[in-house]
Amino acid sequence: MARIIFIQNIIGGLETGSLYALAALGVVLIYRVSDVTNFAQGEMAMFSTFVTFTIWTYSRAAGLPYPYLIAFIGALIFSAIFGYSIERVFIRPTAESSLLGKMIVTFGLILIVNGSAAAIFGTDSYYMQRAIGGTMIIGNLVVRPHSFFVIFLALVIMAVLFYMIRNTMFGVAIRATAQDRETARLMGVNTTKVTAFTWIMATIMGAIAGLMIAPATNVSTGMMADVHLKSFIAAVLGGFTSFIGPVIGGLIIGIMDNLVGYYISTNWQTVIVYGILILILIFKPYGLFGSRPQKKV
Amino acid sequence: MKKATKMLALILVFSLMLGGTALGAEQGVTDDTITVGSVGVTSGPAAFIGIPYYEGMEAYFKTLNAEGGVEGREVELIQRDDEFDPAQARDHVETLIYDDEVFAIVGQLGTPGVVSAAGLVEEAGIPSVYFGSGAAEMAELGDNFFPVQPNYVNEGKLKAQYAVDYFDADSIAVLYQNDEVGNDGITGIREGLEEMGREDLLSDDAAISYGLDRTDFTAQIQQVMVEDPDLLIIFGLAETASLIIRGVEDFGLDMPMLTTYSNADASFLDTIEPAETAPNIIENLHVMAWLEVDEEGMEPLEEAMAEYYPDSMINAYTMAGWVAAETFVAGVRATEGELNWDNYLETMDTLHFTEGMAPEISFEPGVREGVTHMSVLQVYEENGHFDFEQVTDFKEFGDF
Repeated sequence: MARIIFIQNIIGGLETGSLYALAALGVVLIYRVSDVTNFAQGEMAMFSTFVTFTIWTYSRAAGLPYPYLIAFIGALIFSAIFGYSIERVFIRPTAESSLLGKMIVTFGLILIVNGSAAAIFGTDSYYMQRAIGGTMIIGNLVVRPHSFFVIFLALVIMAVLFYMIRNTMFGVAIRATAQDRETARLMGVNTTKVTAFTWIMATIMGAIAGLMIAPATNVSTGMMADVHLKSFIAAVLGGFTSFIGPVIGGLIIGIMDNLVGYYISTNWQTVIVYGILILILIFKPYGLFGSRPQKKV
Repeated sequence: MKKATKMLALILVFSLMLGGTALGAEQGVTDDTITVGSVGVTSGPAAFIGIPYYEGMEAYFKTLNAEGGVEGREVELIQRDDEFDPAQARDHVETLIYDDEVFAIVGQLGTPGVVSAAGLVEEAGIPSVYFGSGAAEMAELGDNFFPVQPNYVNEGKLKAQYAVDYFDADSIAVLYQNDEVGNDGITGIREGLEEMGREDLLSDDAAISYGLDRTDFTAQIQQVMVEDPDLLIIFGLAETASLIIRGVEDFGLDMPMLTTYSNADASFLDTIEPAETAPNIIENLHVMAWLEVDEEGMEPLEEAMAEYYPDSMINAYTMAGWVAAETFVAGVRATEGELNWDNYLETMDTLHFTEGMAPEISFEPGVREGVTHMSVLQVYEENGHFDFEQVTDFKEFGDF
């Protein structure tokens, strides 16, 4: 029994941690390309999730086959357009402003996106189904197939990003833009396109994250608030400059959270977990997989 | 120059003092209107509570005004949205008292905001009637506070008694949210068990807290499974309670569950979507309820909502908003002489009101417990639709 409980808590932690990881990967991608921390990533994910939810609801009501799949594809298309629009309207005009200025723009985006979502979709909280429903009993373990799908998705997205950055021409362009935008431009890299594409990719990742998180939070304008905060912490813990970092960071937070909650105290769960994380960061200030940022000259 | 500065300072001090004493005498009351204010959430995730709540309140005031008002005065409501943020709630209450100069705060909604603004309300001495909150602290704040909803300590005590007398439980587990709501609740349960001499029902390990930021309740539900209680009490509001109930289904826990009266509405069940996420255990779910309304009692609200909010559903939150408004007006009707704070507070201090939607609202000098009689409802399913039905009589602690 004791071993089952231990493993059950690990599985629960892996699922939650994967959600944090999924939410963090988009933030890290934008950061790596432009040094900008997109504080609106969570709200953009929420907005995309509302669109996905709307498509899902109408598809079901219309009796269309595979409404979830239709909604998923709709989410990808919408979030690509949404990400490009945000970059074109809000980010590109501020290309020459300071990093702080750009980050303030993303703070403004939080209010704009959240307010728009409330005005368009309302303020109620809605149920959204899991990607794969139901539960399975394996031995005495309760396993949600959705959990493994979320873990799988996080790992796949991480691997794709990792491969793309290292092995494709576009990855080279991203790295060059991240290293020195002006020099990259002089070398023929279309840095404007690179930035726009990273925003599109990050927004798509946000939409996928939102869709996976929705069954655990319901769809509402506040659905990403806590998850987004924890995804940032996951990214900082793992290292903001790597793609594997946020995934490992997210999983560590998820697992530690459950183990501390079960074996030590649910009252002090949050305090203990984040206290330990701060201790880790004292010894690894750039995160577990991060590296000291090189000064651009 | 120095003399002029001193004079200016003195004038400023005197005007501030005069301003202070002027506050409240008859503010918010004219020959034909009474202006009241309220603060509560009408946007964000908790808006599903605030929107129907304020529709209920507005429906009452609009109906009242259409019939000529109260004692010849129409009631105007200024409602401000705090987004369930205590800091915003405090600011809005301050604005209502000192800028809008309302006569009373009516039905402030949400425990965090109510607690945050309580000091301001107490200091101003403005009547504050009905709280959309069950914080036990309301009972001790002062003579200008008139809570109506049951407080969570009293609810907890009553839950302990129902656990023994209705659920026939020999052991219980409590999942409670780690804030005023849950902490008051677990305090009440422990007090109730102690007064009944049944502390053995709840072991320390079976009182399990959770933070409001949680999306994963694996650790908590595992603890419940280890305890294997006869009854699981969930002392948490809709957002987390709905996730816990889904978790209970996932882990296959088959036991009666009892949650707070704040969740006693079909809209709470909608957030769970029981047919898809909890089909096997949803009929194990019970809630506490404090409003006892038959068809005849619902008629005025139904007519008013049909007139002013024809597209809105009536739910427990609508009813709560209606009760807030009618409690305030009951006090105005009973006030003799000039309508000012002193006379109104004196009247409310001994108000005994039984003609409204709540079975009985009464205050005594120094006693502010709110409603103490409650019943238990249970989820039932009919043609794929889930709702609550009453399964016990209304009782208060010690009544069994």
